[in-house]
Amino acid sequence: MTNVIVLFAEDRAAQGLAGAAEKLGGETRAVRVDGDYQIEETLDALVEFCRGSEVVLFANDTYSQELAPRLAHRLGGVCVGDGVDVSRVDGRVRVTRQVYGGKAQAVIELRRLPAVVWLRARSFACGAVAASATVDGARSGRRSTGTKIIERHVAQQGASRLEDAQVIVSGGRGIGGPEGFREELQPLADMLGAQMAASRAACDAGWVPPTWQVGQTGKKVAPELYLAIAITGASQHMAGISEAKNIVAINIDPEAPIFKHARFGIVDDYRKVVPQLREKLARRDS
Amino acid sequence: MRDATREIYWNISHVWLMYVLLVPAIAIGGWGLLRRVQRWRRGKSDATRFDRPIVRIRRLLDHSLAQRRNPLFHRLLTWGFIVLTIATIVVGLDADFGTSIMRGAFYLYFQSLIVDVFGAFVLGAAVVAALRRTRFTPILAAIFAIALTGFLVEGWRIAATHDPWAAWSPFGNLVAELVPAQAMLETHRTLWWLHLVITFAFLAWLPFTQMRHVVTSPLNIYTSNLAPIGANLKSVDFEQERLGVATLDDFTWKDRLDFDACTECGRCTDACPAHTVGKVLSPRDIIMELRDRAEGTSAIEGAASPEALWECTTCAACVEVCPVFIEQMPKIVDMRRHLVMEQAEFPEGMQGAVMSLEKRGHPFSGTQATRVDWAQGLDVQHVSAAKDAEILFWVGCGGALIERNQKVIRATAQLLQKANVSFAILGRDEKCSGDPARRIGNEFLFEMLAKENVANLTKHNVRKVITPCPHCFNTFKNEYPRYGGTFEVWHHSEYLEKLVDEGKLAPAKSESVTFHDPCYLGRQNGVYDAPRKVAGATIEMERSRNKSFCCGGGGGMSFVDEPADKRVNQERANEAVATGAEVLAVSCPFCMSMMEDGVRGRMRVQDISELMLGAN
Amino acid sequence: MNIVVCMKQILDPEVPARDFRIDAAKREAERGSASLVTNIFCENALEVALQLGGNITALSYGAESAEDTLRKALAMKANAAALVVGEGGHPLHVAQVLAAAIRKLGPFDLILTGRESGDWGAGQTGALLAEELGLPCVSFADSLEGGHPARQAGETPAPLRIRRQTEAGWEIVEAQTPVVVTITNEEHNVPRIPKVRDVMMAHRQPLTRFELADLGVASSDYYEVVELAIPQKESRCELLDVDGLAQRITEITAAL
Repeated sequence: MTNVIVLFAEDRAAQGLAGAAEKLGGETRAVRVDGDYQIEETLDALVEFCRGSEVVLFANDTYSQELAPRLAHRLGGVCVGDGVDVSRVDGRVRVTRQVYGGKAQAVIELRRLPAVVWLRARSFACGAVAASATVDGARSGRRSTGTKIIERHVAQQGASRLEDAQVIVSGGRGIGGPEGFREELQPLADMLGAQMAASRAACDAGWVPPTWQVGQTGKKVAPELYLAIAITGASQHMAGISEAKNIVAINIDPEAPIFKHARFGIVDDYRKVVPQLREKLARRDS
Repeated sequence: MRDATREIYWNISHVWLMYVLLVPAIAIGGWGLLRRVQRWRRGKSDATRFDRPIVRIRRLLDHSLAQRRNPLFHRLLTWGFIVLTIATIVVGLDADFGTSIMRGAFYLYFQSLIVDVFGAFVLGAAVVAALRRTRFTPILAAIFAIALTGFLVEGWRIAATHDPWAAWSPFGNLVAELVPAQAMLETHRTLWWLHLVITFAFLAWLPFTQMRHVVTSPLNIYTSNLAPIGANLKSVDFEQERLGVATLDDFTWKDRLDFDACTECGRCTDACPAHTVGKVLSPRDIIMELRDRAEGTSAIEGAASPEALWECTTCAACVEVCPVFIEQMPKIVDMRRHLVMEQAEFPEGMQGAVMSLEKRGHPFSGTQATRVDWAQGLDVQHVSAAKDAEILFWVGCGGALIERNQKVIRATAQLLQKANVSFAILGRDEKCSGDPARRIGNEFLFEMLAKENVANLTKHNVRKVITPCPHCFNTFKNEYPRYGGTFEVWHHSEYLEKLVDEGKLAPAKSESVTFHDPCYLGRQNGVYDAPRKVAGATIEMERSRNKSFCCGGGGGMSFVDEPADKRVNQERANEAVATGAEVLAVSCPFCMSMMEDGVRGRMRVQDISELMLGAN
Repeated sequence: MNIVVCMKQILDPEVPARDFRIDAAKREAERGSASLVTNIFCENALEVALQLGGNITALSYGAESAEDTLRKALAMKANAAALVVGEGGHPLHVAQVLAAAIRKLGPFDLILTGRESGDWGAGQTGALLAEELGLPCVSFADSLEGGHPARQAGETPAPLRIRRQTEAGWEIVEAQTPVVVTITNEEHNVPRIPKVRDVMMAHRQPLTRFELADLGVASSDYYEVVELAIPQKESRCELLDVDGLAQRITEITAAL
């Protein structure tokens, strides 16, 4: 089995792909795409490079996601994306992925080769990958490809939308005032690279800007990690975070409905817990 | 005594001039009224407004004549004018038709005494009215002048003729005492003509000002809606060119009569909960603006601004308080219909609710609750399984899908079970009754939901429905019959009261409980006592029963964010807290959410069923 | 500009987890009490097309019920609608069917799809459609400008300016038509609410229908779902001490 791992410049998430390749077995080479990425040109180059391989692995970045299905098509293979596991059964590659908005999990058997798979970040343990080859993402044999990326922009820190945030630190009525947000929650958010949010009660009280409001009549967010601090968890708030993957609840009230939806939690006063949490997280980082 | 009388036209010559002056007065006044009538007639048709004449006449007597909703001074003013008009007619009959009514006891008791007293009422009322407004408006000045000149004429006549019956006209007699001796005849004559000219001018002027209400208000009261307020919304004909009201042309004749009946008293605006918390909505201003606009012009731009229209909770406090039975709230909904159905322009929060209603049959997009979560552990059956269940327990979206309210539904179901009531539920097959869609203005979606629900209930042979939601209650009871759904509909407070009366359940033991009347149960459907009895509520807020202050959740308002300093629910919550009661009892899922939010832990908020469960 | 927007009808993704059931034998979700809705990204795509302007055809491949999706598209003022009745299938099959229908309905300057569907979320159909049609593809776009046909003979049409999202920010891509673009949501492409009058009119408009057999699409192997299950999630919140919580948080954020 010959596996190809495709890397785009400075893609740290790709480090997990080696583990996937290892699991599938066989020889693995990694190729890095250099130069200014252009869609059709890079696709052409990768088609040439990957011809003959049986498995092509990608990470979950934008370029990987848009190229993977088309690469598969050109090589007569199959693509499956957002995989969380791969395996080989009876010689065929199988990919596990979540479907139906995360409500179910499917195992998909690929019926053609090459199997082109893009994987969720961190689905496998970190392993070093060194590119042994490169392709030029900007040049192609063809004369005109019809599309050209003419501007590339990186979003500023903090200007990104709450709806796109991966980690959110959110406070509710129990915070008690703007100081709690400013002095306890914001430093925690800074440590985690998280965005700040709040329940309606806190926004109404004027403790935080209304743009922070998450809930039925606020923003609907879908982070990997949502820290609900001193938030009761009434259904109007839950309606805004129904897509959150991991909810952590810190609340002094053991009966608070948030605990029915949270994955992890602490029943205690946030004023005690949050400073301690920041301390522990700082120690882990160092 | 039998020949007591006075000489008509004493000291007046050239009486023919009076008849001459009468012509333009009546012509102008008549033309003014005619123009208004033509305007009404150019309006669209309305529901039947002339049925049940006995009831209508009764209403007319109560509200136009006895004027139950009006303060004393206005009632005296009205009766005063009626008496003076009768007196004038009597004079006219005697003068021009050879009758002899103004004679003897009648002349003394009525034409002298009663007329004098009621004339004084008119004078006094004009002064009271002016004091209330801190100034004499032109109309009040005219009324005052008419009454004053009347007394002056009388006084001068009494003095100049040494009237032997003067004592029977106490106020005229009083004036007579003060009349100077010089130029009595000339002054009398001048005053007589002055009184005449002012009165005739007033008649001519009447239809062009708010004073036209003396004609339009009784007409409006007679043709007012006899159904409960909750049944007042018009249905929409989807074959028409325009849906809802965009311009003045889209209003019905009754709407136009409503505009003209307005006395500008402002009670509707004072009662409006949105206005009370500082929002721009003013029902009076909307009615007055629409009245003064030319036909064909926009009803919404510059008259009833969208901002104001979207602040209305459809509580109908305005309708309830209006002394001349204008229906302000339904017109607001009519204008909303245009904005929603023709322009698709309405607040984002309401858009989300409407879209969710269309897609999944409930307005709470994002909820992770199911319609049967509340029933876990309770042995409650679906209608298809319990074929001989007597009653359908209609839960409602607010009850099933908002966590706090699920406890209320459980409590209600448990009470019904304790009383051995045979009931079943629709469970996941329940769809929104359509009330939010209708109040927001999407009548199309409402009709779709209504027809679906009626078909569904009919399919399951449902005859009786109990629901803990006043909005569903109102819609099922007053709005579904139009779509073929005639069910016997009970609000849970009514049914629980029935069970208490039958001795099957005990009412809640009264702690310190105050009850908040929900608009759609109380004011709009007349149910006030059942929930109080069931909840053991004895403490009353000032604004209670038909004057209850809205929780702020109706009309789609629970789906939008209000500015923090202009929250209807906050105003009401503060009022509840101020009673000092321990518990605020509610009987509506919207009220529950709104009051819990507003009260913020300062008192307990419980549904009447939760209170009652505690005693059973 | 002639635009075709591919729109998929799916089970309501907001159905609460407790009501969500799987048919283990068929390996798909059970309908249950869930409503059928149009995939949100497909609606975003239609909105983008409406804002760009042109002659817009809404195309759907699915059950008869998908007619609802097309009526809603017509109510939003798409100009025409076409339905291919069939059972759907893996993304390659869907792409082949859509390509065949597009060849019959076309030619088109712009082909729009949503970035992925709210049910299976494979995110491939648009890309595979581009391959089937032999066209370039730009993914994750949220707004489009320009691209209108040349006004005079000999003039090249203005290129399409496409703004598309990346995980780091966004990019502007210039494209010559014809091109396939997949659309993602953004605050400016929230689908418009149709006017009720348009909803009523939409029901009277003609709908082009294709039977699968008309399109001559060969069956093909691509992938097969061999297992589908609802993972047993413990609904109990794991109560931890601060140390344990810090550890869990670190684990979750490190994977991002």
